[in-house]
Amino acid sequence: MLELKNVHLSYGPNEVLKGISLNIGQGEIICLLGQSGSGKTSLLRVIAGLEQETQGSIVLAGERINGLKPQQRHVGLMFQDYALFPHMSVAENIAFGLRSGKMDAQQVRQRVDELLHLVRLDGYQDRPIDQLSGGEQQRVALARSLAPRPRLLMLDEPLGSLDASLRETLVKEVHDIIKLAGLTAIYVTHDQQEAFVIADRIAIMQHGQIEQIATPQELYYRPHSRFVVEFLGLHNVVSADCEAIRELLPDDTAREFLIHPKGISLADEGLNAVVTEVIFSGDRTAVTVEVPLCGSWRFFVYDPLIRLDVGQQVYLHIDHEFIIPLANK
Amino acid sequence: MNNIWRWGRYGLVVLPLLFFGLFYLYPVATIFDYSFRADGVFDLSGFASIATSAYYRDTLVFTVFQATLSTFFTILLVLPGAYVFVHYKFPGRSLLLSMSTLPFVLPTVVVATAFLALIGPRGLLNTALMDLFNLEAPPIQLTHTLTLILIVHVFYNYSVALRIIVAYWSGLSSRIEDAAAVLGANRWQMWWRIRLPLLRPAIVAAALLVFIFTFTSFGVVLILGGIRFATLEVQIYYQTINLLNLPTAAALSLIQILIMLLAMLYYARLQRQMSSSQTVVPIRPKSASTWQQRLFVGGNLFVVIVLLLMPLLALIVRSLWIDGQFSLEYYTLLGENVRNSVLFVPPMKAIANSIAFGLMTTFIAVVMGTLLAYLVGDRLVNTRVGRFIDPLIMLPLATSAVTLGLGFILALDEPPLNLRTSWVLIPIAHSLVATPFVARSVLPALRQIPPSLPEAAQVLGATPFRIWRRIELPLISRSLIVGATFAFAISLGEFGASVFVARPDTPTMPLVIYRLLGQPGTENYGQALAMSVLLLLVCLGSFLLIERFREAGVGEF
Repeated sequence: MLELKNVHLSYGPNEVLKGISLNIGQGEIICLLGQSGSGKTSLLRVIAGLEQETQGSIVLAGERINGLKPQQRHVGLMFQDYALFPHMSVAENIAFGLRSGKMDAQQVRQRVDELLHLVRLDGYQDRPIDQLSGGEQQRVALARSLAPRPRLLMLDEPLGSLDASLRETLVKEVHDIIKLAGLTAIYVTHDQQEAFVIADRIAIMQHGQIEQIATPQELYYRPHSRFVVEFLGLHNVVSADCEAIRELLPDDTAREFLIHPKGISLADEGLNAVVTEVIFSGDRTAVTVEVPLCGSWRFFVYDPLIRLDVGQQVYLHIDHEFIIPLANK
Repeated sequence: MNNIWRWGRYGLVVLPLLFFGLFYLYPVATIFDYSFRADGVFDLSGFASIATSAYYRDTLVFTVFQATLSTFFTILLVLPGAYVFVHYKFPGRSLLLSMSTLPFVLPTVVVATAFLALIGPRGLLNTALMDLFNLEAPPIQLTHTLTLILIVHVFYNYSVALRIIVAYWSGLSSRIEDAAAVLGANRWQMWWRIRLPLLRPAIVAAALLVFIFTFTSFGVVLILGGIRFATLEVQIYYQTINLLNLPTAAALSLIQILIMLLAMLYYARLQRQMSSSQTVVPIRPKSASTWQQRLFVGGNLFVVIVLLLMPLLALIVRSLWIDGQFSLEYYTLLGENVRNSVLFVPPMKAIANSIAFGLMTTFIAVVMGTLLAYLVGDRLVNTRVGRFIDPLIMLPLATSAVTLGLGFILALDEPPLNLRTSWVLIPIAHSLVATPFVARSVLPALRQIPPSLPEAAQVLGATPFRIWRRIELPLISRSLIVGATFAFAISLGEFGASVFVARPDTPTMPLVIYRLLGQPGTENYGQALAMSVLLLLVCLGSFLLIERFREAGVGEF
């Protein structure tokens, strides 16, 4: 559906995108996940035609769209600040992209009603924009970008300015609306929970490059690099020359390994460690231990009957399935 | 198609630049040229006569002297007023504050006439006193005195200075004064050690602006000062129109341009410094509670109202009050061509002229001002040229209208461009004065449009023209109305440039008022009053329209 090959973008000497290649299938939702300044938004703007790539090719539905102006690309883009037109009503906002095409007034009205129904804002046609709540504005913006039936929908941190509880319910809703419309979508966020909920595949971005692209499960259980590990908050990176676990390590040229928290459990015998921190958080307890000469690791205990104290000696069992080699830098 | 659009846009860039180049830079450059070589040979006689003559030196000294005094008295009167506006709530507070735009739309000739109607020899006060005490001569003799000039200058600048200082003061943290009070500062220390040092940037900026305005005062001094007093502006006018001494006029202009340029640059710097200050706990105005506070508030309001409203009221009353009874006679006279009149046309014709020129000016200024705002805001071509053009919009404000008029006479009266005998010079001159006001109104509105709005429209498939028509134009329309009204009012009241470039058979309302005032006879005086009132009403109407449509912070100077 969308094929990016070696896309570069620079502002003067400042290189914002450094060779992005990406394939997105029909009906797939890709999430660009990364910190601010990692190039997520710039990539969306290049695809939309709002920025001119310095190099690379962009092919949308078999058509090379590099030189086209934004208004000729027929893609949808939902802005972080929604960019709703403040002087127009809800219906006028949604209809804006329809008027450029060839639809009569009746058809336009019908399409607007249809979209308002889809985003569950029936009857909001004549509301002025400044009387909408943040969540309502978000849905109007979504409806507006869906209205002209774009070939590709892009959403730039669409829930970024909403509070956490609202975000949780809306992200599922946005997911369902996109899937219901059968759209191909790129969703930009810096929130991994959001990304896990909405994405078919997640692309982790850093310094204008894609660090890893994978399904949420694969990304979580098979992170490629130390950056991804840290970004996902998985912590337990050990060096290949760590004495205590050398025999457990797979035969690999990697110099660093992730001991995935999922693969660490308490045992009656095994690896010796000292508890340094215990944080109880309801359904699980996060335990940090110090493994002599291998640094400190964190894992989770789900059995509420197990009591641990700081300073206590424990034995760990390591499931070698969860020892993951990390890319050498 | 894309190419047509791109070339079209560059055309839109060139248009205002061409306009400013041809009708501003070229005339000013000609003044430069003329002051160094009058008849094709290098000649410093203009400067020499200025340097050696005590007469011209006196003009310069007087210009600086009256501007300094005007500034001093304005600030002195404004400071307690600003204190009241910042600290107290009272009815009409925001209306009085908004009056700072008034001086920009109130024509100098109207104000001069208004003060004559109040305290002139035939003014309300004098006639009342003469009737009351059976006096032979008017007891208040202020015409052709420095005092009257200073009073009118304070009238003009009080509200502008008040607005600047109040805006800055309101943004200062109230906690500072609280802290000083807790530390035991008395009233005197509060002013000298806390308020005045804190307000310094605003006071300096306000003072500088008042100095600039009064330094280039023309109409007020010409009408009220008589032959005894002449600012540089008035001297340039005398040298050009009465004595045809163009090299001296050009040299004087050049001196004035340089002084004004320095002052404007300094002012722009101050303004940048002021805008960077932002604080958290602003001072909240409260109602006056004790009788001392009420007296203080009331006293200041009395000054404001007497100063700002009395002359205007006197003008209206005096125009209707003839020999002890109300009459519309002065107004009916406007339609007739009085015998032995100084005018070639009936005064009514001047009203038609003014309205026609006003409409033309509005059109030109709105087009040019909007294009300039787009250019400065980098919305037209993204070449980041805005920064360099930004000062350009302020430049005509720094150049006095008289200088502009002189430049027109010198530059545009011979090939390649001979427009001296054409009436088009009037709307063009007015447009140069008005365009910065339009640009300054539109620019903030334009900058408030988030870039994502046009981008969203673009992604939704809108063409550049449709984006402008459906998104940008509606969002700047209020500011456009403000700018257009400014342009119309400025054109109607413009005096300094018009007096140079208007032909005798196409006078404007201010010119007719000026000529009538210079003539003896009750009829002439009455006509001047009546026409001033008409002009005043139009300008007040414009002012109300501007205030109604202007959003906070739009078009500040």
